[in-house]
Amino acid sequence: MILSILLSAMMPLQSSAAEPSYCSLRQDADSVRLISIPSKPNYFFRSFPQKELISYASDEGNFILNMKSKRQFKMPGPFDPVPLGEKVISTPDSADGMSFYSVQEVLSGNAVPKLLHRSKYLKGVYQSVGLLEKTKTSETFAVITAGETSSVLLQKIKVSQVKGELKVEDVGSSQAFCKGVDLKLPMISKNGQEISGLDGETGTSKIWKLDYDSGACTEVADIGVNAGKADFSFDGNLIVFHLRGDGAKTSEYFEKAEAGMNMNIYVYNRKDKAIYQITQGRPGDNAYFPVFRQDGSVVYAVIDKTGTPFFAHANPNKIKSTGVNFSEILKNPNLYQLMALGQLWNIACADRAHQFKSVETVISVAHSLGRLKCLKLITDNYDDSFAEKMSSALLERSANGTIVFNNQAVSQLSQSDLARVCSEL
Amino acid sequence: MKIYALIFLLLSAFSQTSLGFTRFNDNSLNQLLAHSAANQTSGVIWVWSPRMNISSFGMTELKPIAALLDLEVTVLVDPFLSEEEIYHNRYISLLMNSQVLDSQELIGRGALIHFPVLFVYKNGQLLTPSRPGYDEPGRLYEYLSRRAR
Repeated sequence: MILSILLSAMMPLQSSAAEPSYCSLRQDADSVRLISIPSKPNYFFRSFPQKELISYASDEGNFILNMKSKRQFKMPGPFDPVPLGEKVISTPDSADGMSFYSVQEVLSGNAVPKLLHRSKYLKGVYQSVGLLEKTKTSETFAVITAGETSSVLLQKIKVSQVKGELKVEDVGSSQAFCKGVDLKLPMISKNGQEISGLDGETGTSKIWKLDYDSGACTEVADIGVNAGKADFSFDGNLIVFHLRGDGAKTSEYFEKAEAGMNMNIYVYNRKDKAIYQITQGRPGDNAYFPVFRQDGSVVYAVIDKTGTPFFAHANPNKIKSTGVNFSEILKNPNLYQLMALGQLWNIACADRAHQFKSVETVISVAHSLGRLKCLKLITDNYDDSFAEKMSSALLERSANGTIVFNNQAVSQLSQSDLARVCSEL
Repeated sequence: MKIYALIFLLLSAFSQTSLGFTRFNDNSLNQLLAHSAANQTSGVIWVWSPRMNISSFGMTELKPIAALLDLEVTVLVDPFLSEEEIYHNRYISLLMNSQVLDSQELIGRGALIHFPVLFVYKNGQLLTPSRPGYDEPGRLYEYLSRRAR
């Protein structure tokens, strides 16, 4: 199925004029807006649901950045500022509990705004927010953190406007969820009913449904990959996350930031249970920590080959690629063909030092080709040395160890074996 | 004698970054695991980044827990730092006690997916899966007690 979701790929330096068309993995760079950042952010940030604002942590503390004006506003806390809707922003504290501040006050230039509320039982870190209920005068959020004794601690927080004054308060007491589940990097869905995270036992990213009566979590989906934090779309149908695309060119460590590393953004579609690659950076380009906005667009961090950080805002639009169901990839009858196509792309389009090494990535690359590029890739590059090219591939097994590039099996594929798969791309 | 000194210098140059940090590569990992197998020890490899603040204070909590459980500790740092970040970093003392992550094996196992990332090894075997993200001390103690001992 061809999915027209979101975005497009980004990243400069992906193709040169001399390259064949199939080497270009970029979909539509025009729909990506790169936002320069006045200070140096760390890896943590969140986009506001609607306002053109991004909250982020840096060595200089927490900030809110206006995406349009590029003005940034200092706010309290050393790390992890997360908005609750549009009016309130939170910062975690493992010892004293979660703190809440007025966004408007921060945006007025007050770096030390009045503490609206401290939720003293909501300790822990990695908070994320879902909206449980909305009335004309108030919003009730479910805020979770990674708890100490359970996988997740949840506190309902009510934000209301009383006679023009912003009020934040706990609703009931905090509740432990997901006992018995070794859930890492939890993120709550936008409606507060589900949680995404990494299963510490299997090493794969999953989705669990929350039971507010018992605190139990029931697994409803296994995405099948070892992803970073996974953020739900506002309709709950899509999950966005980053995955490692490739290893680094190690000789440049600590000399040139992000030398050969490659992280890309992927979306998991819950309807067809497939993963769609959104950014198509090659080694040296990196896209991290994507989050959804309410309009369906995604904001993510970009660090390019020079080490310069940006935020990227991709408009909802058209990436046309076929998805990969990694949770059932081992049952895919075309698995070896997909690996071979990805590796053929590697050899045809990238120098040895900058080829993708991750087996998941070469499978994704094959899916990004489309039928015509796939056929052209085979026509141009399938020759007598095919078996040798495949047998010398240095692809690594997937992060959870299950997907392995079988050099011998792949080497035996014929040209027609590969071409047959193109019609499905 | 001179030739050995020259070889040593050359090897040192390859195993260090331009700023003098020691790289922890696949050879280092193999040596660590071989030592663990020979001595029947367990330990943890902790990968952190100054760009992920929470990972830095997680390190200070890990060490006493590891000592309590008699676990060896190897500290590795995010390889993607600029010189400017290193010189102006508030975690400089922790940084100076870290080796630079340079192991493709660990990267392939998810060492860069979300700092901190914890790896556990036991009797020469690297256990799977890796464990990304901060754990509160109580949870970390429970996890390491269960996995590493």
